[in-house]
Amino acid sequence: MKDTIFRSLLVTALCILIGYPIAFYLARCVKTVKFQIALFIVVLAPFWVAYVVRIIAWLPVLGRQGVINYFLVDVLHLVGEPISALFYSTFAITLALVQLYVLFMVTPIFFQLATLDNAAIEAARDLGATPGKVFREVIFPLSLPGVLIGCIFVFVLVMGEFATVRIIGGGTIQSVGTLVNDYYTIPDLPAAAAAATILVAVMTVGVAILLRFSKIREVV
Amino acid sequence: MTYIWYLIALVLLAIPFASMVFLPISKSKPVLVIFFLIFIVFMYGPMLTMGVLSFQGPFGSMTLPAKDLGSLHWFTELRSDSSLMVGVRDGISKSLWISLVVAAITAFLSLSLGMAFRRQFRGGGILFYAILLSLMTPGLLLSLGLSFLLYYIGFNKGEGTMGYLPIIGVQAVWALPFGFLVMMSVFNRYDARAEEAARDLGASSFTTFREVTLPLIWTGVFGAGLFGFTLALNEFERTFLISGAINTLPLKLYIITSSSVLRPYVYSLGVVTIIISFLLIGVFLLVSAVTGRKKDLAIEEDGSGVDDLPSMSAATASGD
Repeated sequence: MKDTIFRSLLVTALCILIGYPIAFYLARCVKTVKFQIALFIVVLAPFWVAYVVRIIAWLPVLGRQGVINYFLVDVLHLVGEPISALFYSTFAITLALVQLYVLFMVTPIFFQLATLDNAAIEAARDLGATPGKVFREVIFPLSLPGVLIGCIFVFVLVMGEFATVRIIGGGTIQSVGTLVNDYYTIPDLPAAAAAATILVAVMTVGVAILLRFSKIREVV
Repeated sequence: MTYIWYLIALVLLAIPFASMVFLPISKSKPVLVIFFLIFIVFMYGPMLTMGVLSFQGPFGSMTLPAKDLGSLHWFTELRSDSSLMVGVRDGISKSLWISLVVAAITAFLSLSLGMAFRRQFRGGGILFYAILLSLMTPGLLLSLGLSFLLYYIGFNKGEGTMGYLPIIGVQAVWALPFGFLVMMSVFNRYDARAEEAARDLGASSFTTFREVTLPLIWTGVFGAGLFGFTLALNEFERTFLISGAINTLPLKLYIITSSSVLRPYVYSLGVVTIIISFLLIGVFLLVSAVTGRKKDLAIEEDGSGVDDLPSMSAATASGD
């Protein structure tokens, strides 16, 4: 349980770190609308690829003789022998989860940033604010609802995640999702129901905390 | 050991984020462009590797280095008569049929919901959030809950034609918010004057709907249906616990990866599903581009073609 919460928080944080610059680039740095839409479709397209296939696609990348190890050992000679810990590890799971769910973060932030009022930014700039200050005091607060929605999406979905953990974790790493699934297959239905109920409770608390901390009602 | 990896990742990620925060757009743009390219590699790299590895010769392995590239061996393998492949093909055809039904349901429900939400009605707000709720429900929980429900009402999962009902149900629930948001964005830009004109000219409400409304919004309906199709085709977690003996393609893939010895046919199978998905997106974009242009020519207004991105309205709707 603790692991699952920690993993969800970690993945959510990484998704913000990765997703925000991407959304920012798409929304504010790309000039023409056509190009923007094209890039956005390119970014969004993996969402329509089967989820299981996207997990499987990590096998040849992270495996013992996968792409990363291949580069580290044979091309760059950084390490003597393949790092077998790449696959079947929490790191691999985190990486795959970020790749699977980062789109849920990018899209809400993108639309929040794209509908941002340019006048506010220019006003701040005219009043002599440094870029850092403009971002902190104008852009970020205005994009907060998007970030929040993304956080809720990613947090909740990763909490309930089990196929990624099962395939990439190789049965050695547990999450509440795999636990529920295991209880279900035994079959120990009451235990599965109990685990699922705890999961729902934790997710509800998590979402409530997120909403409380950000005071979404004031922002919106 | 793992912590070192996390540390490296965090430091690397801090660079674009910091440049975005502290530098003016003109200066941070190159950094963000590079970051964006890395991101694209991150998103597509695994799929690309899988694609390359699926073109190996008969002695191909699951990992690098690839052997005898350029062969279609593992694709022809998909057509062989081994029991595994027969099962896989069976899964594909079942998936396609289920997706087709889900697509029809999604298109129909999205259309009626879109029509309903054109004006305020009691319970509209609650209904709106209820539809969107399924976006945020982890699939496993939905699957588990429904399987309990089926168990208590004495429903036998995956038996006969009735066995398809719960599968179609959960997949339609999953696809509905997307189709619904597409329809919402269509109706947001919809000009009701044509309808009024038709009504003034004495058309019945059914004739108005058939002759005026539907021709104007059919792209949206088509898009909603296509969303339903793709999402249902790729759906895994929601179907997992309620499918019984009916193995859809993603379920089959999961079973293969988690139980048997892996051979590159897993990759070629993955490539086939990716191609199907991208083809469907392509068809959708093409249709919306063509009709968008027609509409532009007709009313000479800009801003069409944006509506094919559902999550936009998802974000704005829930952000409001």
